[in-house]
Amino acid sequence: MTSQATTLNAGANGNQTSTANMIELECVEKVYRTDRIETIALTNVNLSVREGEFISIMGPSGSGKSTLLNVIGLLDVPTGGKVTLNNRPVTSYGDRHLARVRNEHIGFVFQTFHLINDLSVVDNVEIPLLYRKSLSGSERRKLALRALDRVGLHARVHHFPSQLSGGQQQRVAIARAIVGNPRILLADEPTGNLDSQMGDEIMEVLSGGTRCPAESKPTSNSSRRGGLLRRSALAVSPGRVRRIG
Amino acid sequence: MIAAIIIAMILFMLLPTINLININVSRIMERAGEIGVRKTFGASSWTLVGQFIVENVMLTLFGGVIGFALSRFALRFITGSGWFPYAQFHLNHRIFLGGFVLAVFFGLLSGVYPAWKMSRLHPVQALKGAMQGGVR
Repeated sequence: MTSQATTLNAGANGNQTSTANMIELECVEKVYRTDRIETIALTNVNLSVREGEFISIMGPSGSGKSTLLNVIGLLDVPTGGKVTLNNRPVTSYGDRHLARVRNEHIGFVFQTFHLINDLSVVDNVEIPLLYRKSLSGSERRKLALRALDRVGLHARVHHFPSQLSGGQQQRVAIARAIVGNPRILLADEPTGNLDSQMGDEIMEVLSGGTRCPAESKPTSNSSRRGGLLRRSALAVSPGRVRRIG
Repeated sequence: MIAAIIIAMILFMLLPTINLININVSRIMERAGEIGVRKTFGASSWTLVGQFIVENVMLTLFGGVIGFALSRFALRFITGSGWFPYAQFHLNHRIFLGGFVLAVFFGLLSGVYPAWKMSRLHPVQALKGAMQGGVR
């Protein structure tokens, strides 16, 4: 069974040049070890992603798609190999440094949304901005409202996640992912919990439709619609990754 | 006599402290999803530790304020009861300051271990925990 599960959008803030490598993985390995079992999740993964690429990652359940995304997103540390993001060798970074790179350069969208139920929609969207000391409260609010406007949820800013449909919750999650203007957008099975119609809507938003979430600057909308996103696909068969298009 | 009262007081304070540590540890497990989300979007472990300790100190200070308010009534009651003839019990600045310092101290004490446990929570594991229990 093969399923389109995961997407990766590099150069997500629309300032891309088409030649530079945004993400580079060299001989990356990930092995999960317990006392008795050793599970190889990724073996010798080599991957280059240029700015402006939109990549779908496909593979059966348990093949390592999420692990690959977690390694690229600096949520998980590889057991071997080298990860370079935006020409920075991040493999050796410590917790604080990794947190800053995640905050400034990477946006995440999850299958199960991962919104905080006790916070309103706009407060959820503000979360990445809380860790940017240069922003004031009013600036944070302004950016969060703009991100919500971009995903078509300006009328729901004071609602709580439990008061929204699945598709709306995922839009909030997308707004949260793009509010900090990241250069890389990672989406792990973003449509997995949605029906096909809502799934299509979310994919349209993610891949740069009319309400393109990846756009941080309205001025670059036209160029995005002009097709700057280079689409390609990766196939993940247990532990191994290859480009298929 | 005074030493015995101080020891008894410390023991009385330790009991709720231990209780608060237990509550905080289980609260961290409940809030695993939130911790995972905050780490994912750029909070470092130390930022979250700071946030948690501040939350905890605020909580204990709030408890301290309620304690001071109640002690005012308790002292008035004891003074008026005649159990200690000619004795007048009042809150004074020294006791207030001492109580304030103690509340902060026990707030820090009960927050440090749970915060340390929280800092060791792996973001991916925290998010997986949230998937099983829902993000709160």
